[in-house]
Amino acid sequence: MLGYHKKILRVDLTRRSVEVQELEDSFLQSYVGGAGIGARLLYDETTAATDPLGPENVLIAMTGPFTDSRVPSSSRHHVMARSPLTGLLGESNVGGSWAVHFKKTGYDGIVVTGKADAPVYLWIHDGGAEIRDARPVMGKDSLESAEWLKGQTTDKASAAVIGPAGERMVRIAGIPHVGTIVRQAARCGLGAVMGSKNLKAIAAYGTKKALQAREEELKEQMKTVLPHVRKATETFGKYGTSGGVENYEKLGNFPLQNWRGSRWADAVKISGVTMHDTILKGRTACLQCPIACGRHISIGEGPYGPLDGEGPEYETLGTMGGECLVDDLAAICKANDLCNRFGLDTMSTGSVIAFAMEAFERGLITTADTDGIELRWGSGEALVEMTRKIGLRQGIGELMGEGVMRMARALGRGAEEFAVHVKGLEPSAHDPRRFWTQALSYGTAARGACHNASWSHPYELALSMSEFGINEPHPSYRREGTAEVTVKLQNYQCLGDALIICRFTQVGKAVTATNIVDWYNMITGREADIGEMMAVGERIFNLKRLFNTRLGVSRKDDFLPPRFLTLNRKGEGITTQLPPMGQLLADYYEYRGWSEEGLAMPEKLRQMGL
Amino acid sequence: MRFLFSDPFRKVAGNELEIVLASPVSLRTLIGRFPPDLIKMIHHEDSVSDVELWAHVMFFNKVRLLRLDDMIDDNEELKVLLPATGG
Repeated sequence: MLGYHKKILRVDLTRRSVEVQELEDSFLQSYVGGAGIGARLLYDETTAATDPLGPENVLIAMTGPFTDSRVPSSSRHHVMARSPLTGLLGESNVGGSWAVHFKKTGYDGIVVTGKADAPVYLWIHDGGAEIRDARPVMGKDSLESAEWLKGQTTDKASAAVIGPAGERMVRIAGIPHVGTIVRQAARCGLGAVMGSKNLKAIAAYGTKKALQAREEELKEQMKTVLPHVRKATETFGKYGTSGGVENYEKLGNFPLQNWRGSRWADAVKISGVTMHDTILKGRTACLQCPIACGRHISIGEGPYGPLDGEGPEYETLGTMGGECLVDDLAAICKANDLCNRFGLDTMSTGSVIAFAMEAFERGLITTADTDGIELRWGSGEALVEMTRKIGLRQGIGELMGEGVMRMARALGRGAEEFAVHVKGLEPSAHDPRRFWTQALSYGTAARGACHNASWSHPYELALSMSEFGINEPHPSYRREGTAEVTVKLQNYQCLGDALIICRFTQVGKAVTATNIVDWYNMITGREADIGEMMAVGERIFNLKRLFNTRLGVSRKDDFLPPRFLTLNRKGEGITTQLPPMGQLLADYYEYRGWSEEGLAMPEKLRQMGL
Repeated sequence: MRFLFSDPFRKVAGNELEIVLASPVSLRTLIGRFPPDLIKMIHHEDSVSDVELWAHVMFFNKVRLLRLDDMIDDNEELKVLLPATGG
């Protein structure tokens, strides 16, 4: 099989050893890459006793066959470990330039185990991998550290580099990836896993190319594909993900006031259009991406300026803006920048601050706990200062950095009633009361309340994929078909995370399932069909579920928090409907071939080769 | 009937556009009556299919996202929004 180097780098930080593992074709066919190979390795190399912050946890970064090919929007990789935030399977998919630079070193992925006896970084290049001293940059933020790393390696290198939050093992710490642009593997606290291993960074740059079977044919096809992708995503690219703020507020999808609000006229102040018209300096793109959804913003003098760098995404505007009712775009940009520097997940950070604001309102937290900061709804100052405290693990920031689930348990006194998370992961900015496929996917996704597991909200509006039976957008608030659509999209997104392609290529049906299977065949030399590849997606999803089943996860863990099941969203022009989770889950388990308790059945597992 | 525009369309078309309809007409026909700048902004000149339209703009009535061939009558109020994306 082509399209791979068929090699994984294995680094044991305790022994300070580096080894190379060869990958067999049969293994590559079954798990493809990215999330597939990552899930297999994580399942095999951890146990129920693995401490997420112990040296025995396994940190995995995997590229896929599309990485470093001509396939659009494929400069991404999948990072996995047992999550210190949820205690379950942890995963985060990230773009930028690291994946391409890493794969060019001659490896498809890296597995890091153990714990270094002093802070180190890995330098991976054409000649192999070196474990080097990172003490000079301990305590430095991710952007400063990346600059230092370039000086130590090459200015072309990209670095997966944690900031102070990861070093301090904040459970909502992500892994900033700094290269041609800045992107984070933000979710599930994977930055804390790096910190627990005394691993400050993985820097990579190489020049090797994996051979592809029909590279010329792929190149030729891209002459028509790329203009089509550019056209279909033109409006999306112009306003970025943040273009969704105003429309999703009007449709009842945008999160408000720790998920208890219905309408918010001030959403327009933080929308992608406002950003475009005021502070946008330019668009940024991951390598080889024709969409360029990233925002380069610039803010002049003022309480949060000067500031020049990455602008906030839709999810950040939803959690730090809508959930906290902060309509000060500059404050959100500042908090976003701090998250990139400290290495914090903006979604979990915004969510936990919104939760703390409600706790403050209810008197469960006072200014005596917050060093005098008034944690009021709408306070941009509170948002920025709390982000700083979380990132540096200072004061109440230490508790907030544990995430909503643990903070609610610590506060007690009814706090768990308004603690919004699934399996310990704070939701992204899509309301499951508005999109029931999102409700099901929040409930059943391995990592918790994750919209990306199905990325189905556009499929309840405008998207379809007839290749696997979604012939029309799925009607909202209809139980019939919701499980089927959710399952199919979860499997499809698992496949995309194994091949490695950005979900945004689905915008405007720019790229279809037929396209990605064709490209897989052109790159690898195989002759797979859509049925086989969708079965790969199903295998990966089930494998992730098995990982969690081993840790005791079942139906009881698949329900949504009380706020989503008891508080409807009613406002001018909006009436959402509470998702009937019990019924939806029953439909879902049946469609998946699982038991009524949500456990994958042996016969089904055998069918999938698990 | 009325169109209620959100940004960025509002900047070109204003908050609302009222059109009197003697009888129901398709959304495709109605969009064809938009000012040229607005037609260009929503890429309607290229939108032969719903999928192509929805890549640039969404029209909602009280119930659902509308298709180009949906018939619109005079008492309707349509929200005009950017396409569905999100993070």
